[in-house]
Amino acid sequence: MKGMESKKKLWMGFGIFMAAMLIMTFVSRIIYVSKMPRIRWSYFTAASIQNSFSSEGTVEAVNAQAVTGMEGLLVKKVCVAAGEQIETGTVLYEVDLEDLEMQLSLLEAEERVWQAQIQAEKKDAATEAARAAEDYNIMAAQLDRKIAEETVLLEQAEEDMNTHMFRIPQEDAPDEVWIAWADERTRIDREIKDRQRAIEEAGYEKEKVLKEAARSMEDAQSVRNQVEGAYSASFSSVGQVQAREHKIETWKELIEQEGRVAAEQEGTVLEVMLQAGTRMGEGAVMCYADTQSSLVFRTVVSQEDKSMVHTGDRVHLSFPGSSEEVDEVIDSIVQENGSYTVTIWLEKGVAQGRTEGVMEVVSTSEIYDFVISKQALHNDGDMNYIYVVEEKNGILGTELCVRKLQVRLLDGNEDKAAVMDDLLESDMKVVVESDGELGNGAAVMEF
Amino acid sequence: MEGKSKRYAGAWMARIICLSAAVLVCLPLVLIPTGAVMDDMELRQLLSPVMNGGGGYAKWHLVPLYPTIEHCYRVFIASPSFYQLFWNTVGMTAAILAGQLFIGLPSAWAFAAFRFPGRDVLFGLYVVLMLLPFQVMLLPQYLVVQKLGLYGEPASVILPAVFSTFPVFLMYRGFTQIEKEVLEAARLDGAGEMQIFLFVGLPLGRTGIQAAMVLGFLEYWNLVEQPMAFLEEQRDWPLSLYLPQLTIEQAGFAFAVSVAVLIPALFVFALGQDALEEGITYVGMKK
Repeated sequence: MKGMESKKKLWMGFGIFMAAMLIMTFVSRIIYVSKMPRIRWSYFTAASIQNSFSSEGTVEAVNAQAVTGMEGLLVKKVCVAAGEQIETGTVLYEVDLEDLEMQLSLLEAEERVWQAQIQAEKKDAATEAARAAEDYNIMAAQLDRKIAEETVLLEQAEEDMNTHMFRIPQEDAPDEVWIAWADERTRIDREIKDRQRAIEEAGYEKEKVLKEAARSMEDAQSVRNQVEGAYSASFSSVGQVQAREHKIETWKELIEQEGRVAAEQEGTVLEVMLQAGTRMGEGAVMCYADTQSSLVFRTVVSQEDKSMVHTGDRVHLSFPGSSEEVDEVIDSIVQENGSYTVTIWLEKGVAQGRTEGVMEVVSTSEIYDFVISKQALHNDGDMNYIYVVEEKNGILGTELCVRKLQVRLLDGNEDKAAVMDDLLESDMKVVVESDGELGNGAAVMEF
Repeated sequence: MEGKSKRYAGAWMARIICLSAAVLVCLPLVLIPTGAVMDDMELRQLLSPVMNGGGGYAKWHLVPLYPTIEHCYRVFIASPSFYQLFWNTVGMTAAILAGQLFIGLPSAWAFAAFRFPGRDVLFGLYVVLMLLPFQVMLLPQYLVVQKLGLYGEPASVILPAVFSTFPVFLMYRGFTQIEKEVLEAARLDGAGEMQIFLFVGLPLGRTGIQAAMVLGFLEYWNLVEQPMAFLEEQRDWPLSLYLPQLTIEQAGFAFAVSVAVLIPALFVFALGQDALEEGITYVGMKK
């Protein structure tokens, strides 16, 4: 009887053990399945990869008109903004009229001072020229008189020589007579030569003195001419004089226009470089393109994006704030400081009134044999890999498991990746989504 | 007096020797549960001299230095692999034993209860088949299994075992313990042969049947060669093939599995111990 009780307990224990094993079988399977990553997969597709990127740029006029500022004037109001269409006569900006009148009066005073200086210098130059001419005339008269006197003396000596030659002694005259005649002849001959030399020297003197006097006269005349021609020691160049005169003239016209500066032709304002309340500096204060100007779109792309743009490529242009969109061709790509400036000449009428634009480039690759979703591609440092789904016969029967496969990335965009490896086959099932971390050989379930 | 003390000393010596042998025999039963809760690092340190082919002897800590239930968690909770193989083993063993009851039991009864021409020759063949080791029977069994298209199927292991001759022999021995007069009396009372089998033979030959079942369970629970030869898919394997797959890195895991493998066998042995002992005595009895 005791043995029966013992057997009964043993049977009960055995039964409990088997029941526990059965329950644990379910529990372990539930835990196993709950930890198993769920995946979605897809086959490779043969497709091309489209890459696109956009780059912001500027619309610029090739023949832009610059509005030159009126240096020194105070800007009262700027009447236009960049991108604004303007007509001929449209007021571009206004200057402070009171300030303008004050500036003009200062400039005119300066002009008057300068004119007075010019007049004084003109007078000095004329006096100098008259003196030079007078000196020249006096010197010329003195030298003429000297030459005339020497000429009379020469003629007298020559006459004396002729007379002396007729008074030649008789052949038999004593030696003393002959010696006295010869001495006289020598004296007269010397006198003739002296007079001739004196006349010649006076001629040289006259020529020299007259040349110097003529030069002095020319210098004086030159100074006079300079003064007359508005050249003065007070001013460095005629340009400044003319500029000031032009400025005075312009400012006067501006006063007549009540300080308003108007556009000389219709067009589009490209850039405004002045501000109300500031004085204008030298150079252009505003830039606008007339309707006849050609427009270009320029943008800078990085070294990385350069591979996607080529001269002759068709790109899409859009302009912020406008619904206008066009397809244009890249005309040139120029390397500058490590980046690339892309230039596109726009057709007439395109992007009028626009100053900014966006270039969108879409490049389509060749057709690759193994294209997958970008989500399917994993990388670990420089290594790219994918997981492929395979059936594995194990203790738990036929299960889905994933195998890690290293691949080479050929091309890709935000959505797709083209990969290559000798082991790849088109009917491989590639894991594209997983709700858990995968590992090589890990068992998985499909969603 | 001197002779008495000599006998006394001899008895103690025999006890010590037997106890030492018993400790050696039972040592695996100590290793299995302690190994199941031992940390991997500790197991590697203790077993590396023998598992990694190095020199020296393995050591053991009866109380683990770093006890852990990680192996038990991995075996019994984290993965259903163990349970798949466990139920494979249960199913295979149950199918074999059921088949043996269905096929072997009537055969044993026929040998024990009836006299027919060629009976002794046929029984002799049974005994010969029982004596042949599996290695001898492997090729013929393979050819038969292949021909029947059962290769790789669990039936390729179950069917040959179902037709095993040893349980027939054991049950036959149990039935032969029934007195012929009892059977004759039943016949005289008008009982049919089936009634005699069911209501006389089975109750009286129960011990032999139980012994055959217990021995059969212990054999088929630990079946290795047949599944290894005929089963290809791991999902069909019994637990006995799972353990050889485990390496030193999974020694703790193997110990935990061993515990689970051991428990059913212990239950069955405890339940059928009496019948087993009696059945073994039948084997040694003369007809």
